[in-house]
Amino acid sequence: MTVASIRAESRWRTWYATFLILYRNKRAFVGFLILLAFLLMAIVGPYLVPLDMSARYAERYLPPSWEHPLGTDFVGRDTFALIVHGSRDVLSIAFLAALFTVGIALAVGMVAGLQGGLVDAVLMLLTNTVLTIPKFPVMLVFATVFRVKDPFSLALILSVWAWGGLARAVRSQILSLKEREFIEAARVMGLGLPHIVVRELLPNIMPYVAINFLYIMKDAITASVGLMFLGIIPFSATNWGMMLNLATQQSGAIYIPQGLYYALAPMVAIILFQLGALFFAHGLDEVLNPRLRS
Amino acid sequence: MSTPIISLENVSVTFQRGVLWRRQRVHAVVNVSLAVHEGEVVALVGESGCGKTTLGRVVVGLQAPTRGRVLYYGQDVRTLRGEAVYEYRRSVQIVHQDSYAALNPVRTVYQSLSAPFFRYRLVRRRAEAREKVAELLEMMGLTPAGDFIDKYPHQLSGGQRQRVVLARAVALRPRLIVADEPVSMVDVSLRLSILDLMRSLNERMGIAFLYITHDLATARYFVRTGRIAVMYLGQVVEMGNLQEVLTWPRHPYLQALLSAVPVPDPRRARHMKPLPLRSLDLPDPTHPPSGCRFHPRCPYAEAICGAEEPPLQTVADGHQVACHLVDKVPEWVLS
Amino acid sequence: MKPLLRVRDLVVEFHLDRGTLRAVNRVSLDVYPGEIMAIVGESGSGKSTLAFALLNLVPPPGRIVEGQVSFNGTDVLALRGDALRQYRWREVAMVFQAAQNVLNPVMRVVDHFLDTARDHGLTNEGEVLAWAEELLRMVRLEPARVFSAYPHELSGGMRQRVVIALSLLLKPRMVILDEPTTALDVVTQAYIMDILNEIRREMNLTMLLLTHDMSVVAKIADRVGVMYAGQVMEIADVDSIFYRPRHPYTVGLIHAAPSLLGDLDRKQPIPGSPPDLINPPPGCPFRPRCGYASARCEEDPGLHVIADGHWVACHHWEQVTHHAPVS
Repeated sequence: MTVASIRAESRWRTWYATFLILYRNKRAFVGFLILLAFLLMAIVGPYLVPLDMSARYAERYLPPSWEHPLGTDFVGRDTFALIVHGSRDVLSIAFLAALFTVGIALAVGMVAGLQGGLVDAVLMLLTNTVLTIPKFPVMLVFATVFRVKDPFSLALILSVWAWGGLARAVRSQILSLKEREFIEAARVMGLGLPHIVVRELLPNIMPYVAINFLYIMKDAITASVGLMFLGIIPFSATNWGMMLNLATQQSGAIYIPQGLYYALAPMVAIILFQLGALFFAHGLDEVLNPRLRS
Repeated sequence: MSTPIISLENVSVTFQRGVLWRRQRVHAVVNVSLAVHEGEVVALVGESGCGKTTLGRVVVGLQAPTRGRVLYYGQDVRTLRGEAVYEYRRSVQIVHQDSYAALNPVRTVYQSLSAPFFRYRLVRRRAEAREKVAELLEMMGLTPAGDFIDKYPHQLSGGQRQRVVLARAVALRPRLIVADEPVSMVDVSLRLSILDLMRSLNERMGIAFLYITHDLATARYFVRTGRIAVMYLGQVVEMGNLQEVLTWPRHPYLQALLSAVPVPDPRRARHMKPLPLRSLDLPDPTHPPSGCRFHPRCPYAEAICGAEEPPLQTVADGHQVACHLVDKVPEWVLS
Repeated sequence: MKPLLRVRDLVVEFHLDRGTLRAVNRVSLDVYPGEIMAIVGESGSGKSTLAFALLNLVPPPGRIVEGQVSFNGTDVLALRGDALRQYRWREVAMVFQAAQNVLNPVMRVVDHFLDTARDHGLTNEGEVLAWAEELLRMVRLEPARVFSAYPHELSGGMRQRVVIALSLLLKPRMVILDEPTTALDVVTQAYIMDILNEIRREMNLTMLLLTHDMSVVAKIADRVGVMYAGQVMEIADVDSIFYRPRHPYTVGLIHAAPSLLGDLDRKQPIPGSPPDLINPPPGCPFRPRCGYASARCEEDPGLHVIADGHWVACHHWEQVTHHAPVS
């Protein structure tokens, strides 16, 4: 046996193999492309598409044209530029919210599942409380009570009541995994709790958590846009929710046929992102779960 | 005789089942004493539900006994501290029945096998660990190691997976491996090769084995000149040198068991008659029979059998039987 | 004697993402009335798929690609609708692997009998119950105790006997038993085999027994078919299979079966491991593990008759030597 034959494959090959699995799953690949487009839009978009916030009343409610791909709004600003500049906010809020939610859910679920007993009982009581009270009204209350002025604080409000379901799912997965024989074997070898949690348990629930991350992001967008739309946290003018709010409340765009494009643009952006997230999440299980790769 | 690696002293394990007001006690293991010495091969045989798996878990420390003591080289494992705990952990390993459940499905062979090396600082770098894992795989007959080292468990056949599980158990150079039905889920044509591998580990590395099984034929193949302990409903009913015990079984339960084992020889099989038992089915383990636990099924049972628990008594050199009527039970010879 | 079940060149394929898996590959065999025929094979040998195909019940994505199955002269693969239902339980019943788990946990045992009878148009409850009682006694269960019990109140061995009794409710002519004793304890297993033998004699039943265990075969079978990688390797009466086997795989299986008696040094595993059934190389599938293999084995040997009732699929059958097991 040569040393070469037992050397690990390079990281690039692993990445390439992963990409191939994704490519073969058509639906997931479409989802991947949509999400990639949104990501590019949020990161480099604002540098490529200039945003002129000054009002030009002569150019109000213009239909789509080469100059304005999605038309203009009630003060003559380019809708496409608004969408592009708004995406950074929307996506970073959603990403942060998903990060916080998954973080809380993992912590609660794993501690409850591993520790058991009284700790488990208390944590599950808390989780069930969170699950019983509908989350949007709670977010409304939080958003009114606390001053929200940046994506970070909004993300916190979005996640504080959203982790219940995932926490319970993580707990039940941990409960079944920790009885499995490979965990027993690790215990017999004295591999220790950190190893068991990080190396044995987490990789098993990672595909599930990653898929949920996308779902939570998707929900966070809906929720944040909803809060914006209701005008409760008006801290950004380009946020898609704010656009919808302005379109309906300030200018009555839904009554004016010419304003249709202006009102539709943020909605379509939201729907497109949600579709992308759903499609991609569908294929993610196959990519992350070695058992499903063939 | 030298101090045994592990010795169980009057070990009992009781499980509580059900909710508070309907709690039931299951006596999985009742007052068992058993020792395994260095380099020894011992078979622990019994039907499902007899407590053999629980006893195996007690030996490796996964299950604490409700009563009795587990001694590691003469020292109670509950009193072990510091370095001694790790010494015990490293020295007594387990191999499970289901090789698929025994390996983490999302970790490669390398990841699963290298963990103990890193844990005990036996290697420092990744390349070193890969060398060690490869060496281990080749020792288990998985050659060339390069074909297996980066595979996930589901990409291996049942026989190959069980070899990986054995490799993991051997990685830390243990003194004793508890093998719980290691071949019952392996293809028939490959069973003997796994048992042969375990025998060679015993011969070459001096690893002692506690072979837990329901299958007397594989126990005979694997254990050869070693010892056997036969369990029934949580108790050891007969124990001794395997050849002696299987040739001249004294306990009616073991006689019944041996008379029922099918043999791969049609002429002999047609003549074999299972010993008639008074009841086909095992009694409810939550309400075990009084006295000798086998008496409701035993064809020879007398009044004393339902009244008193029979102690293990020596009938020949190292051959012990727990039966009141050991002198009256007709001789039954395997032929 | 005319065979009750006649299978010719049966092929079952599963179309998977990775390719086509031929689970049953040109299998031909006959089962005669009143006999117990055993099909021996390891996991992946295709014996379970074969059983499903005999009932025209191959689960998707599996498909019967070609071949014939005729039962008492009827073309089974052409049956549809009611006729197929009739065939499936009234003519041929099946006891599945892990059969203990097929009982509905929320139904009492007696309801299982009544439901099965009703499903097949037997409405006289008194008659059905009387016959069910007789069947339960035949498998050594007390009807009074078992009838009103829920499945979880019975032990594994008792449930298995209930399932066997249930399969005989409609007085089928043939029963297919897939690993009927594998999950059971040795003592129970021995009794169930005795019971099966008794029932066969009393009801003049035909049985097709699928198993991986040569010891079970030796105990109960009249004739044996040995399957490997979806193909039949050898068919003969049980004595010929054990004392005059002509296929290297059969010899390997016998030597790989541990026993309580006989010389342990004569026992040995079969080297190598079973083949991947997706896109296998042409020729004899046992070739890579076989000590007799030669260049000729790259050609499919095909099943051919070498003595009365003894069929072998091997080019080298004349060279195959075997020392009868002294077990």
